[in-house]
Amino acid sequence: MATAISIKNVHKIYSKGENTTHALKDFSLEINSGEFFALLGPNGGGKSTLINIIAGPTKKNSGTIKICGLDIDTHREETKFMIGVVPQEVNFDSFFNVNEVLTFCSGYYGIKNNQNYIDEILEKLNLEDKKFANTRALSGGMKRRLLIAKALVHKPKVLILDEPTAGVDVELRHNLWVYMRELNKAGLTVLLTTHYLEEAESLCRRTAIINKGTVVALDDTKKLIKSLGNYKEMTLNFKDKIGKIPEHLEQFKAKKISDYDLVLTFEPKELNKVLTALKDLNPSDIELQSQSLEDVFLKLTYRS
Amino acid sequence: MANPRGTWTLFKRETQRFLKVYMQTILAPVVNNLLYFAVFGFSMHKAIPDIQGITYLQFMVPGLVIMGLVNNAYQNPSSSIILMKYQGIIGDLLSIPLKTYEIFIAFISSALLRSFIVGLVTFITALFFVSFPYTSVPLILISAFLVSLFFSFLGLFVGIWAKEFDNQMFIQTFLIMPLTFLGGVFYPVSSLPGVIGTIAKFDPIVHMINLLRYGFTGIQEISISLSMTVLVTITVAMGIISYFTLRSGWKLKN
Ligand SMILES: Nc1ncnc2c1ncn2[C@@H]1O[C@H](COP(=O)(O)OP(=O)(O)OP(=O)(O)O)[C@@H](O)[C@H]1O
Ligand SMILES: [Mg+2]
Repeated sequence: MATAISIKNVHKIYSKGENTTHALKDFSLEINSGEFFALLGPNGGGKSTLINIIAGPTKKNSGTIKICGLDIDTHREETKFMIGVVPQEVNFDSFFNVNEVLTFCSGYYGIKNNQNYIDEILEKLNLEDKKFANTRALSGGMKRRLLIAKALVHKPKVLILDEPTAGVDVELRHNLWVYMRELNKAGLTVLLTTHYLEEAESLCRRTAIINKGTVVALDDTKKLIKSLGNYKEMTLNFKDKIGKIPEHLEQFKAKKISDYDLVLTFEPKELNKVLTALKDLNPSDIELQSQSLEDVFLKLTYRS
Repeated sequence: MANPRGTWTLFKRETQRFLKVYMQTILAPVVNNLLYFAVFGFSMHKAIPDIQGITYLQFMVPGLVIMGLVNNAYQNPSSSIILMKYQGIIGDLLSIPLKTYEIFIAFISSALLRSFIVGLVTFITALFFVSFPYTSVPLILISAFLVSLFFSFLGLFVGIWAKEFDNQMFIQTFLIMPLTFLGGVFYPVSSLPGVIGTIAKFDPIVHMINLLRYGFTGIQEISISLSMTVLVTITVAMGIISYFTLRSGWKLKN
C-alpha cells in the first residue's frame, strides 16, 4: 500500500530565551494512502505543531516528512499542492467575502474558473447562503467551516484537519462527518486531530495517541478503545432521598454520590439494558458522560 | 516549479485589498498632498522668491510627488502583513504553494502600483496649477520607480519585523517623516543651517528629490550621477535585506 504521509524521527524544540519546549520528540508515524486516520492527544501533546510543520508555518529541527513519497524539504511547493490543511486557530480575511476568499485560494493553487467546485463545497458545508457575506460577519462555527472549504478548493490528495469540529454544533458536526466520509470514499486520505473519542471512533479506522510529543499508542481505533476499556457513566438524579440502591442496578456498579444522585457505569452496548432497568425508577434527571480523554491518558501513563 | 497564476492571484489580493479601502489608501494621501499644495503653494508662493530660476510651486511639486510615492510604497506591504498577523492569516501565506520570490514579487508589485497611483494623481492635480520644462522624462520615470521600489522593500521588511501597528507608525514618524521633511520637499537643502544641514547630507531622500526635481525642472543641488548612484545602491541593498528576511522566515515562522 502506498504511503500518503510518512513522518520519521521528527524533533521540534521551541525556544524563546530561557524557555524551551520539546514539542515533538523523535516522532514517527506512517499514514497510508486512502486512510482515515485520527491523531488524538491532550492539550499541548504536539498535534498542532506536527500539522504546522507539514503545512508550512512551523520549522522542524530535524527528521524527515514525506507526502506521497516527496520530501517536504526538497519539494516544498509540490507537497503543498498535494495537501489541504485546516488550522486549529480560526482566522478570517476581513477585506473579502466567502466567495472571494475561496476564489483567491483556488488561484494560489493555479486554478482558474473554480466557481462550480466552490459552489459544490459551499453547499456540502452548509455555507451557500453565506457565499457573499464578509468573512468577518461569519459565526465561529461558520468560520471554521470556511477553513475546511479553503483546504478543499484545490482538490488535495491529503486532507489534514486540526480539530475541525470544535465549536461546530451537533447537527452540522454530523453533516461534516458525512461529507468527510464521502471524500474519503472517493480516495482522499484524511488525517484528523480531535479531543473526542467518539469522533475518532465513528470516522477513523486507525488512531494514534500522542502525548508529550511522542506516539504512546497506535492501533485499530476499535481495538484501541476496547483495550482502554471504553465505558459510559450515567448520573441519575431523584426528587426523593435514595434509600437502598436497587439490587438490579448492581450489575452497573451503581454508586451513590449524594442522597439524591446515583452513578451507573457500563459499556455502550449495555445501554438498552440500562434503560430497561430504569423503567420503574422515575429519575427526575439523567446525565450521560463518556469516558473522558483525560481518563484515557491517565490510564496510558499509568500503564507505561 | 513556478506558479505564475498563484503569484498573479496574490498580487490581485494585495491590490484589491488597498482598492477596497481606497478612502484611506488613495484618497486620503491625495487630499493630504492637496492640502500641502494649498498651504505652501498657493498662499505662500507669492511671498517666497523664485529658487534658482523656477517658481516655488514648480520647486515643491516634485517633492510632493516623492512624498506620495514614499508613504504609499511603505505602507502597502507593511499594513497588509501586520493585518495578516492580526487576523491570523499569516499562516495561510506560509502554506500556499508560492516560492519566496513569488510572494516577494506579488507584494512589491502591488505596493508599486499603489504608490504610482497616488504619485500620478498628485502630479495630475498639480498640472492644473503649474507647468514644467520636463528636462528628462526617462529620469523622472526611473527615479520614481526606484524610490517606490526602495520604500516597498522597506515596507515589506517592516511588515515582517513588526508585531503591531505601533511599530509601523514608529518607523513612519521617527524615520520616514523627518527624513522626508529634511530631505528638501519644501526648501533647498543647501539653505539648511549648521548641524541640520550636515545631517541632511546623509539623508537618502535628498537624493531622491534631487533626481525627480531635476527631471521636472532642470535644477540640481547635488550631481545627478552621485544621487543616482546612492539611490541604486540603497535600493539594491534594501531589496536584498528584505528578500532574505522573507526567505529566512524570521518573525513569521516558528
Ligand atoms: N509558537 C510556539 N512557541 C512556543 N511554544 C509553543 C508554540 N506552539 C506550541 N508550543 C508548545 O508546544 C507544545 C505542543 O503544542 P501544540 O500546540 O502542538 O499542542 P496540541 O497537541 O495541538 O494541543 P491542543 O490540543 O491544545 O491543540 C506545548 O507545550 C506548547 O506550549
Ligand atoms: Mg492543537
